[in-house]
Amino acid sequence: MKLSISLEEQDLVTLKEFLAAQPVVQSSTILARVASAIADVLETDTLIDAKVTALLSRLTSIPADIIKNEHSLQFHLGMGPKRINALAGPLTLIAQSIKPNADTISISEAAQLTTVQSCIDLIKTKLL
Amino acid sequence: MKKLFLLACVVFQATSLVHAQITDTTIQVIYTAGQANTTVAVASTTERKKFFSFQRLKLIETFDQQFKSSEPAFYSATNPDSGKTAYQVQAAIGYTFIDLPKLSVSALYEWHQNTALNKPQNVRQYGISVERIDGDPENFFLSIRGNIKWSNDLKDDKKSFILTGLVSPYFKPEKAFWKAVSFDDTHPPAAISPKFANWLQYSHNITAGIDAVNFYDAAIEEAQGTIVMGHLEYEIHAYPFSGFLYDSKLKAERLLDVYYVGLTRYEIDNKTDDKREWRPLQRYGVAVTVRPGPKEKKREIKFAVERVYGEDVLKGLKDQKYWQVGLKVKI
Repeated sequence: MKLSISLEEQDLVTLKEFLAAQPVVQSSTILARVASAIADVLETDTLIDAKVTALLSRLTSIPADIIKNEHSLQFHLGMGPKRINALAGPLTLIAQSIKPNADTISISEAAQLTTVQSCIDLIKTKLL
Repeated sequence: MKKLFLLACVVFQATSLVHAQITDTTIQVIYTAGQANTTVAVASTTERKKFFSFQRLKLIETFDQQFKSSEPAFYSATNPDSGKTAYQVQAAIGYTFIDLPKLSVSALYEWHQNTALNKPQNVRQYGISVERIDGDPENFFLSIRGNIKWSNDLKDDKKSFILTGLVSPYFKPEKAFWKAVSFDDTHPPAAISPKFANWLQYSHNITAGIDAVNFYDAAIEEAQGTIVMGHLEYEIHAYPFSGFLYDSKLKAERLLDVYYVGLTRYEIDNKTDDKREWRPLQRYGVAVTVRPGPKEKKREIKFAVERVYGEDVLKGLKDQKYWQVGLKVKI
């Protein structure tokens, strides 16, 4: 039997919480491994979020606790088009700090970034 | 010809395979049971990155100026002071074939034509543009742009070879509003000063460099020769009601843009018969931006009203002043 589920990030969080609440997960090797795999993915996501927020805080001098994922790079964080292009290098370093052989992020890719979340999503595509 | 076409197909297919890359961000949990080697894995769907990527295609106004390199291509009806109305195209199309974190190299084609002016402009150019980001983006960095272009002035029957080198500095922004003078950035950031940002944001930029034009073929022999010029450019933009417009249904940044761009070229050396010390080109105007695509894409359409006065020797624009009203498109 093969079960394949395609999940978005928020669904994954819900699934993790659901599995954690089920006593049967503790007694099933397979379900325990599913829960562990989901935790790994979410842990990586949390790490990327934290690294991107810290980077943008250093770049813009805006305290990290003010920066939200939905913030616009230009409007909320005040970054201009050239500074957004220059994100290519630092975002590549974040991707490669998580996965050493991760693909690089190009200037053209960085030029498409509009929000904090778009930076996080771009890094994730380099880790797959 | 058929062999050439087949060869092109093979190269296209081979390059497509080389560019195959995972791009989908959906997370997929694959759970396989009922076998001796039961596996649990987290994977993602894959999508082949096409040989031709729209991300690498640029349609802008020109590669010659740092500010214009992020501005949309311009199509307009023009009404100069003399009265007659016609059309103009100020467009550059480029494809980035080397695209790295700190370096990009693009092939470009530029079309600058204005039929309405007292002294009409009609120039076609093609060449290479190189952009490099040098320094530490977390502190201070330079954006360096170099262009090599061949230019054909169809109006004056002159052919030229153009070299351009431009540098813009970018400083780390400061938290305090009064220190927020860093170039290119939007001041003040709405995350820091939301009330002020509701009413007004602004940005400014400075660029310096060298432009050199060699007119190697001209109908009039005295027009042949080389001009070497210093290039200094300053731009300032005000974005009124920035926060109110961003919070509206339009969700657009820099939607309303009131701007001034001043460029001056100073002749360092001139071997042609067209000599003058300063060659200024200034423009100011108002633009309204609409983004037709998803918010993540930077495609935009601008409606702009602009006053232009001065000259641009790199594009066959002679010294004059005029109003222009038109559409700007950027992809």
